[in-house]
Amino acid sequence: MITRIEIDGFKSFENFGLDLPPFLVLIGTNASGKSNLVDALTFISAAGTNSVDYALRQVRGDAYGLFRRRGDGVSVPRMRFALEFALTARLGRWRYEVELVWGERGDGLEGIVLDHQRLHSVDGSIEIDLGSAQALRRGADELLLFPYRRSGRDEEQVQLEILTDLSRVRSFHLEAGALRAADRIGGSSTLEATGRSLPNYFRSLIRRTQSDMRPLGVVGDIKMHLVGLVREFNDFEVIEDDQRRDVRIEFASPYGERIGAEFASDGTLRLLALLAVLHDDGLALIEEPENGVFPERLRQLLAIARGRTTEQPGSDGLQVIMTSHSPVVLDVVPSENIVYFDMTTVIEGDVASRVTRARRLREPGGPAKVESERWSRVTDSELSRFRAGVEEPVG
Amino acid sequence: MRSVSCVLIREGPSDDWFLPIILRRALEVLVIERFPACREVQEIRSLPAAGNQHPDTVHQALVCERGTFDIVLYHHDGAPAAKSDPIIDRMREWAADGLGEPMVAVVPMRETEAWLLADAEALTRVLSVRKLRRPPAPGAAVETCLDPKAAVNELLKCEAGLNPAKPGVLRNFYVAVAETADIAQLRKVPAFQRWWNDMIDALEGLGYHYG
Repeated sequence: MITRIEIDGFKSFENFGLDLPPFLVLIGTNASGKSNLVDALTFISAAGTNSVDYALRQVRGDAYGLFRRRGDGVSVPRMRFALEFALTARLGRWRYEVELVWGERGDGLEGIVLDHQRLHSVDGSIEIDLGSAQALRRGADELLLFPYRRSGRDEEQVQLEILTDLSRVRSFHLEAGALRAADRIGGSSTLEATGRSLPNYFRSLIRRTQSDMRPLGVVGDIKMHLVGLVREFNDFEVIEDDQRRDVRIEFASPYGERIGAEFASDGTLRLLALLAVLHDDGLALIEEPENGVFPERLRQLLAIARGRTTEQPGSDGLQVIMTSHSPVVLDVVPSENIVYFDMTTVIEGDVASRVTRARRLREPGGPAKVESERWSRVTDSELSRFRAGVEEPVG
Repeated sequence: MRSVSCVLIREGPSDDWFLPIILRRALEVLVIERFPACREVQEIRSLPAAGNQHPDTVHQALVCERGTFDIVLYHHDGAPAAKSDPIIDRMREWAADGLGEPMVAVVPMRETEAWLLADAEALTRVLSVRKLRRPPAPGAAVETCLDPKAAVNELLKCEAGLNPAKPGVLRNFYVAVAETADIAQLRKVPAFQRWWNDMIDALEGLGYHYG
């Protein structure tokens, strides 16, 4: 499980650090950096398990645009990421640090290149040699972090577990059009960020989790939750049509009527996809789950998400980070699982630059400032403003 | 790394559209000019629950925020002087007596709207017009405007054909000017320059010039 992220020089982040519990909701106004955090986790996990080129295709913006721009329009010359991992009890906690710069790639063209990276235990007592940055460059693709020197069994295991954690980072900004689409038999079962490939993803979930006693595996749980949340249906099925060679989702109403996904409401499809994601493992980054969802249903979905992350804590379980503008979050999610995003101004020489800050909520009767935290905690007056959905204070 | 955080005690809701933004931007310029050891200017947070007439309500609101701010900005319109001067003086005395954090007064000559009119070029940009047909009096002379609120309404109607009574027009105009106005132009307005000087004193008193 990824337990902490630090970012400097990527998009709106400057010397930014955030602890990541199994369940976390990022709240705040538009353009406060919530989606940038999702991009940062998506980018570094995709670059770490695949390549920088691949990672660039997973996030918003072009390669040069990912470097933070100061207030005077000048981009900073490097991005730095650090991720901390809680691996199995035997291997303990590890920290992966990587610095990327704008430079000449292996194919001679300009782009994002690796400057250096480190992998070491959080206490600093053990370091694994990942090889020189030069040795890792290969043409246009810049591959980060892979088992380079096999010097010992534990070292290989650490890298493998970290690669597994990174490969299970998935981000979702669901779009109803993509959720409605049928799949082809033999097509991808990876659920895309938009929700495309949902039918094949369900087939994969069934195969991965089914047993003799529960032939649908976790999809049985998803059915129950969906019916509880969306009263107009009492079942859904994944239909495999051998003649058309496609796979599609059909809902059943309490009156026996069958309704294809193309006719289901946006909210129903979103809830179905979110429930599916919440019944898988790895780190799910979910953007704005409230879109198209009735507030009471969002309330229940948040409770299910929180319950799922505490059912299976640790490296094999589910970790969820959501972004939201919804005040419902404040009613359902404990304050220790909420982080408030907004902007602050850092002064760099004679340039003022707007950057993201993340603050925890103040506990009732708790301190306004905690020594280990860069910023003071969010007070009730600020939460009232968020709850009311206005950017000016509430009188 | 030293950071500065301010809360704002303001008069009315429309102040929230303008003052927290323009004062934060001004503070950024001030810190760059005078306090190089300060590396961060945080958002200025308005506290409407504080009211702005009596120390008791201000005190209650500040107690809830204590530990999250370094300086209290106290805003009151300057006009009519016979009514506002005693209130401002009472707040200053109360703050000096034991508030704990420094309080800096934000007092435009008449109304906050006068500061909105200080930078004609910014008004041209915000209203998307080639030039203002009847630009407000420039710089310090903006304080000679007897009714700044009426002048803002007139500006919106006559220069851009906007109806200030329509939802969102005034609010978005105030925010846009706050994000656009040149701080150097505002500093030509004596009341704004007084606030600027008082901020320098407050920051020096807190040791920001030492880092």
